Amino acid sequence: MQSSSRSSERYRPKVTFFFLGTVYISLGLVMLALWIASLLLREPALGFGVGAALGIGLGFGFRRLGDGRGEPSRAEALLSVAVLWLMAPPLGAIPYVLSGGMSPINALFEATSGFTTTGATALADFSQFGPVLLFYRSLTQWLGGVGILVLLAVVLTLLGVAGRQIFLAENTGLQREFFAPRLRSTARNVMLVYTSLTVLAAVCYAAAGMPLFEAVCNALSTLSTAGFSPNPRSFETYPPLAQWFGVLFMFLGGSSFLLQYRVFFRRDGKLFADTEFRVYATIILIAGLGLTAFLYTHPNAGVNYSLSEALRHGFFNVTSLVTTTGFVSADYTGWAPAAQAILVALMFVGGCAGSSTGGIRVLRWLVIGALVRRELLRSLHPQAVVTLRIGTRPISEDVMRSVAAFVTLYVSLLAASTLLISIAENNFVLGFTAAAQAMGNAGPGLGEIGPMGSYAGLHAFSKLVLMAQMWAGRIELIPVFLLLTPELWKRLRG
Amino acid sequence: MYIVIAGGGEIGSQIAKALHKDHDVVVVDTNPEVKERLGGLDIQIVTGSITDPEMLREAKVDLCDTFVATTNWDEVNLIACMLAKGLGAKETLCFVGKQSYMDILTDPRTVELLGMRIDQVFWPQRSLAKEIVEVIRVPGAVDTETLAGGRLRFVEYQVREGGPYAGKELALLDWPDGSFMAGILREGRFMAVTDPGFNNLSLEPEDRIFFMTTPGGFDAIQACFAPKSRVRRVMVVGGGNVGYMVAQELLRFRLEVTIIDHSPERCAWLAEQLPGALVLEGDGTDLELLESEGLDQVDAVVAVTENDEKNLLVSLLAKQVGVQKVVTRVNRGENRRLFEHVGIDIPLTPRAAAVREVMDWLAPENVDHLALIEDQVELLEFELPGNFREIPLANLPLPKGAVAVALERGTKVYLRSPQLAVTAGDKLLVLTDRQVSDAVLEQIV
Repeated sequence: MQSSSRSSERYRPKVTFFFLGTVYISLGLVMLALWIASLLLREPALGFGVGAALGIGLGFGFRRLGDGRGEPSRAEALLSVAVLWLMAPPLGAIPYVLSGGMSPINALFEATSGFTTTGATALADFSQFGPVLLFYRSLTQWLGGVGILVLLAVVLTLLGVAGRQIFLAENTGLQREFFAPRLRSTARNVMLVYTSLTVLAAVCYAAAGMPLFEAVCNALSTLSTAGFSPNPRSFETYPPLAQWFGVLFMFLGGSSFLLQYRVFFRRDGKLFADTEFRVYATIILIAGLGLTAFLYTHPNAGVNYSLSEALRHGFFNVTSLVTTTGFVSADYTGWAPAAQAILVALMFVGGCAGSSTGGIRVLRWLVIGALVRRELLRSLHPQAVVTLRIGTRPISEDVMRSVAAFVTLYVSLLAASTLLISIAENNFVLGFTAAAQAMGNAGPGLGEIGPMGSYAGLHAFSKLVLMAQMWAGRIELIPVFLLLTPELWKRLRG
Repeated sequence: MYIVIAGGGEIGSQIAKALHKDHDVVVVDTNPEVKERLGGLDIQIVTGSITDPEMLREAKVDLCDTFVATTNWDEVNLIACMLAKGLGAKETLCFVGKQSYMDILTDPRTVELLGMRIDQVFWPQRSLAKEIVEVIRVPGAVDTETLAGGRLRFVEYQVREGGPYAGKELALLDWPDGSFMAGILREGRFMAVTDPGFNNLSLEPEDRIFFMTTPGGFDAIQACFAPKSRVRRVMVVGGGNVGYMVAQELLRFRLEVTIIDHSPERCAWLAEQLPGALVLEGDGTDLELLESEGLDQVDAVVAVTENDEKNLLVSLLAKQVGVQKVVTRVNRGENRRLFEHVGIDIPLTPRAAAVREVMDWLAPENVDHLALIEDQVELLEFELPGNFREIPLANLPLPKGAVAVALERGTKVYLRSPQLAVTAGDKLLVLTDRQVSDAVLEQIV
């Protein structure tokens, strides 16, 4: 008796269960709707049916275990984030297995890739998926984007994980508001921009000559900077105008949604007054022009681009990889190695804070830049006192420290995964690019896993490593590494 | 007038010295030594706390026309001023050292809340910082003032040993158009150009020459004295209020500024407030630090720590390695002469600026104290009354050691010239030795 009463008094992560239950129920409802759609369209509907039942059933179960009242502790908030992104893919993988005929590991890979807005696909043959399943595939990314923008960004920012506290101060200027109202209003504003841009993207794509169904699916994947396309050739077969629209919306999807809310909806603040946005736009401009020049002057593999084609392909693929989207306008595996190297390097940039892009992100690079500058100055003037700044705004030492820790973890995990995958596949180029894209949630790599290729042929072990990376990279590493520390569990036990 | 000065420190005693001849002055201070120090003056000294109402009554603050609070503690000054006003002082003047108090006291909302408890706030460090910046930005010049809304410029140069002017006979020198040479300062004595025998003098090294110029004439005269190169790099030693304000102002003119302070917290604050400046944490007298930071390559050094000995040391070091211009803050007035004797070119003190401002406040409406140079020479501006009869400048009855240098008429300015006459309504600028400034006032007003 005594022991059981003690165990019931033991700590239970109530908020985590509550969140997880809510997410499962929502996913279940989405699948329920898609189940009806598949029945109407006479597609295999079993997967959605089972998914809906499991999602709703388990969801209510989790919610009974949990309790959404009260503010979670820091430890529990971090645990919730980690658990949510770990537990959503298994449920989301069910339709791929039961309706799409994928193997469980490939289905899990596809679902992880979707919810983390990576866009790396394990689908080799697009004909095995019906339209509803393809739509579902794009929708998981869009929902993943919602989760990142609304939940992840706000929670991690308020907790100041990985130097994220700078993001909010830069973006909202609402420091004086309280926790809950700020969370709610921030989420609402971001969602407003995210949804409007998605609708606008779909309309523009369709107007530019993309088939309506593909336009909708691609719009869902564009604003979440994810990269699943229902078309096996990605954007390659679309008219030039549609590709330019793709550049525009990927670019917007990679910049801060809160900044866009201020500029487009409230009409205060200028885009270019924001240091991060300025640097982000400059990187894309320079890299885009560089790649254009290279493509124009180096005809290769029988491809001879005209200037306008070179411009389009240059900017499309640069924007796609800087924002970690992963759409392509051409199969760049046929380009000269130098052009491919430019694209792989861009995966490490990432978009702006406050977007759904992955990678290290521009703002963190700015912090690292300030840090390096200070260390260089200190080596010249050992007694100099230097304030770290982004633009003119000073940043605190703890931001600098957590960003340094984040980048260190990022690089270490990248190196370890590169090693593991390279050994498993016996191919270094594949190993490095696969690991790099998974860390940054980008999508395509080089070689076999290039933009038109698929991850289906990889060893199961490599897929597990990649899934772990996508998960860790998505939730900004720190929560994942925290799960490995006894300190967190001590905290959770109280 | 009956004037009570709270605090017999640097500023207080200077004001007392300047005022005791023409006014009834009482100095209140807690320190009994003040009695000895100011014993030679015709003033009354009360020993006691200036925030004690009994003490203030004893000093007859209730009857005074002006109450000046000059201690080094801002809060004490504020309380003393409030008490004095409450007791019945007609007007209260308050010295502050912190910018925050300046901001609060000059904010109209404060006046609304408190009423006119404090009639005028003085912030001597600010004036000092402005002066330092002016001096640095005009290469070669020891001191410079912009007057009449920028239409006139008053500038002081030093004759350098081995320079083009050392040993030259004044009568033979020809100055460019647009400038008027007003006189020289030699060994603490001002000699006006109108003094008898002036033209027989020869310039000696260390002499100071004064010019009143128009903006165009200023450039021409600047070309005669200034080294060709512009000041680019400045090292500021001491990151207190003055050092901070100097650095901030210099950065606005896109100069390279290095600022040194010993306190880590102050350095962090400076680094945050002064983007663009190189902030170093260290001791200003650490020779190794100064050398490794290129003391010998800077164009100007500003020594503005709170400590006179440090300032002196830094300035001498800087002169030793050949820095062109060294500006030194002198906190204790007694040290000033000493500094000059050991070869400090530009010793400046917050006191001079402060005293000038108080004199200005107390002077009759139609007289302005525009500048006080080296504690010896004063630049005065008179607004001439309506019944003033027209008279050529040369015929003005001025004593030896005083010279009328320019006049402002409406929107125009005129430098002194043989035909120029002054008339009612003009503003007349007179450069005078302080010893005879009272005589000048009497002659004209």
